[in-house]
Amino acid sequence: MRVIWNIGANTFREAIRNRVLYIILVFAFFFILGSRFLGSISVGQDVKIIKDMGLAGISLFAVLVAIFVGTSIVYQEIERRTIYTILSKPVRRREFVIGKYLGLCMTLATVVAAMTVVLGLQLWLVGAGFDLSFLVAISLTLAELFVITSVAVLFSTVASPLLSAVFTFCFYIIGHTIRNILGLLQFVDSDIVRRFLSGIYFVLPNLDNFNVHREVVHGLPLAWPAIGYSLGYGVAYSALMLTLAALALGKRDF
Amino acid sequence: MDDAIVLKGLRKSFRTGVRMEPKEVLQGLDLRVRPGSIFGFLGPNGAGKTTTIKTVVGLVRPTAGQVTVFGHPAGTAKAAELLGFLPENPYFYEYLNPAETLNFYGGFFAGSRAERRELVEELLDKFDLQTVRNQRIKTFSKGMRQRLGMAQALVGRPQLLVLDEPMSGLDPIGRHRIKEAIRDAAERGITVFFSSHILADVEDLCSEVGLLLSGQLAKIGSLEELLVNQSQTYLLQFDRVTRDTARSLQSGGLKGKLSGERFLVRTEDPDEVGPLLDQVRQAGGRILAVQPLRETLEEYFVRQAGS
Ligand SMILES: Nc1ncnc2c1ncn2[C@@H]1O[C@H](COP(=O)(O)OP(=O)(O)OP(=O)(O)O)[C@@H](O)[C@H]1O
Ligand SMILES: [Mg+2]
Repeated sequence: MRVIWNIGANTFREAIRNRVLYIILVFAFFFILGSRFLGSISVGQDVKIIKDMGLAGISLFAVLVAIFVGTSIVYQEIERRTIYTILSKPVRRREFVIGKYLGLCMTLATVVAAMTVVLGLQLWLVGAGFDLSFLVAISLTLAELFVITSVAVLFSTVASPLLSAVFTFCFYIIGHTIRNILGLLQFVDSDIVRRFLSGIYFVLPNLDNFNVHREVVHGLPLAWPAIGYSLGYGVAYSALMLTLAALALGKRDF
Repeated sequence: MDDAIVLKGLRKSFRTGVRMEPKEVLQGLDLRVRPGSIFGFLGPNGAGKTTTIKTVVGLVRPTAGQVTVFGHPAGTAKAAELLGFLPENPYFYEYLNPAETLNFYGGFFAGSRAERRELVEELLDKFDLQTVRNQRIKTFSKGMRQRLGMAQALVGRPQLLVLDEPMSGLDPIGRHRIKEAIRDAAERGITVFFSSHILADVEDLCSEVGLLLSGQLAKIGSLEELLVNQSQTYLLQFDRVTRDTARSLQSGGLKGKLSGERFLVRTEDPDEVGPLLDQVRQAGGRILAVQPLRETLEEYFVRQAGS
């Protein structure tokens, strides 16, 4: 545990000293604050728009952080050979992977917290509140980010940052449109294509399950069992990705 | 006590190229490094020194054979706890400073935070890094990096130091410092195993050397044993030698070099040395030096590569 924590803390330190992180954060703050001006155009709707755009912004910009920081995180250690000194210490390769992942998750939690504070401030300025369901939505977004990060870490143990970034981004996009694949299936005649599509549906998680923005913005009740299921699925999925990453790293020569 | 390092039938092949054909880089190495010794691991570029070292520290998995560190299989946490490793051209996290770096690496070993702090200060002092302790590694010179690399290798209080070309790329002062650190470690009972292709580095440090040539251990023993050549050369230096004397000295087929009154001549026949000295003395010359020339490592490599 000491080893994992040591690597995690150092990864967090590396990430928060990374300039890219701050560039993304600046854009995120402008995005969240900018929603206010859109809000004031449509009278009465402004709070809903601020909430909607704010939640979407947090999700989008945090995913960018996960992709930009996450995909280079293991690859860079190999490429820059910093992994030589680490792995010659009493550090198991799986501990290294988990530590890196932990550090990324801490980074994302910090980034999301910062954006949440800005959004909260924004809502407070227009006199709107900040309720529990809102925090549930943000926590679910964070859970989704943890899943995406596990995929980014897996890619980064086997591919270059650019490729990993592309793959991870595809994973994110497909994960959010996967519901439509099921809809597509009924129009497909070819058996092979149908199998391929169901294969994708089976392998990739439905990331929409982590999205309760609509319910929160419009004050609809939350479907707790579905949320519980999504969280469980996310944990299992991340664990699988990290196991694969540890196996990929474990077999390698440096 | 177990040997510090044991290699038994160590083989390693890498698959390279488009066809992924295996290329055997290490071809069955057997080696023992006794505890407390300073072992020099010599070999020309590409011989497989780094690959061997990487199997010892667990970065490369052998294709066949065994590697143990004080009896523990290489790559296990037990083995890693006992060794400190300095890679060839060490790389660090550029965004950290030396104090942070040493604290970070120290965090992988047992011990309280206070103990670690103390050790880090000691190492910063020892390797002359106190003045740059808060400076990011990004700005470091080669010499500073190498010193930090040594400090980092010692942060777990190891019983074995594995150093891959610890003195390459350093100026004389830098080399001297690293040598001092190696000697100091050995005095404290730490076994040192280091690779090099420079004779002078090994010469005054090692009790034992191994010579690796294209993946095979060609020789092992003391440096003297290793570099004994069948045809030992002697260099003779004279002064106040006239042109005529020089000519007559060279009449027996020897080739010498006269510059001013200085005369330099080499012979490979020990029986020739005495008569040459007599001849010069009789002609009024002065004897400056008679020096046995040991083969340089370079000559040795070239000779081995030729045979
Ligand atoms: N990961 C790898 N994949 C393929 N070939 C490799 C790999 N690592 C080393 N080699 C090959 O193994 C051989 C030995 O390399 P190694 O780095 O061990 O030599 P060395 O003795 O350390 O040389 P140098 O003195 O230049 O550092 C070289 O021919 C090298 O190309
Ligand atoms: Mg080498």
